[in-house]
Amino acid sequence: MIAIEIPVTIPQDVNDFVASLGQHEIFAAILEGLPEVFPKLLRIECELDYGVEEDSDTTVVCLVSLPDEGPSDPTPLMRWSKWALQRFSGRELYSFVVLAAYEAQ
Amino acid sequence: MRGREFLATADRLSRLQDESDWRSGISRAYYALYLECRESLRRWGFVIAPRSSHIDVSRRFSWPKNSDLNQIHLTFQSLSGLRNQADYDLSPILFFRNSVATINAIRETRFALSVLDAIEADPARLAQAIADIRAAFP
Repeated sequence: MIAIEIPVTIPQDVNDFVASLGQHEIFAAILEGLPEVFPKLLRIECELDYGVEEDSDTTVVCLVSLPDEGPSDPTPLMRWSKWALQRFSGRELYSFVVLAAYEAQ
Repeated sequence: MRGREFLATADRLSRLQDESDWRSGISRAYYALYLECRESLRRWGFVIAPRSSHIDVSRRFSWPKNSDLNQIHLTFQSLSGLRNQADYDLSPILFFRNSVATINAIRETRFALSVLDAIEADPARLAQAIADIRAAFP
C-alpha cells in the first residue's frame, strides 16, 4: 500500500504521483476540483492498492475538511457525490473510493 | 428480514460510546445498503453469484449510464471503503475518533435507500434502470 498526503495546493511531485496513475485519467480533475466542493479543505490523503475489494486496484481518496455547513446540511460524501456526478460518469468514478470527513475546528 | 433492518442496528451502535461500536455501526450500514441493492437486482431479474457478489452488485450500479444507479453506487463504494477500514484496520483513524462518521454513514445509507425505493416505486424509472444495466452488461 502506498499512502500520500496531498496539500490543498498541489505541488509538482504530486503531479508525478498523479501521472503514475496512468489508467485513472480523471484523478487529477478530481483533485483539482475538490477545493471547489470543500472551501475549507484541510488535506487529501490517497492510498493505492488498498484492496477495497479482492482483485481490485481501487484508489482510496480521503478528504478532510473543516465544517463550513450547518448541522442540517448534507454530509461531506453527499456534497462530493453531487459535485462528482455532475462531471463524471459512474463508470469513470468506479475505481475511486472517496471517504470524506469533517475535522473538529 | 430485509437488509435495511441492519440500519436500526447501526443506529443503536452509533449511540454507544466505544470505537468498536462506531466501527461496527459502519459495517452494519454498509451491509444494509449492499443487501438491499443485491436483492433489488435479483427482483429485477439479474443473477448475482454468491461469490464476488459485492463486485457484481457494485458494477451494476456504477457502469450503467444512469444517474439514479450512479448516485447509489457512490454511497455504496464509499461505505465499502469505510467498512474495510472499520473492520480490518485497527490503527488510529480519523473516522473512528467519534460517532460522526457512523451517523453520516447511516444518513447516507438512508438517502441511497430512498433513491432505490423511488426507482422501484416508479415503473418508468425502474424500466430505465433495468434497461441501462442490460445495456452495460449485454
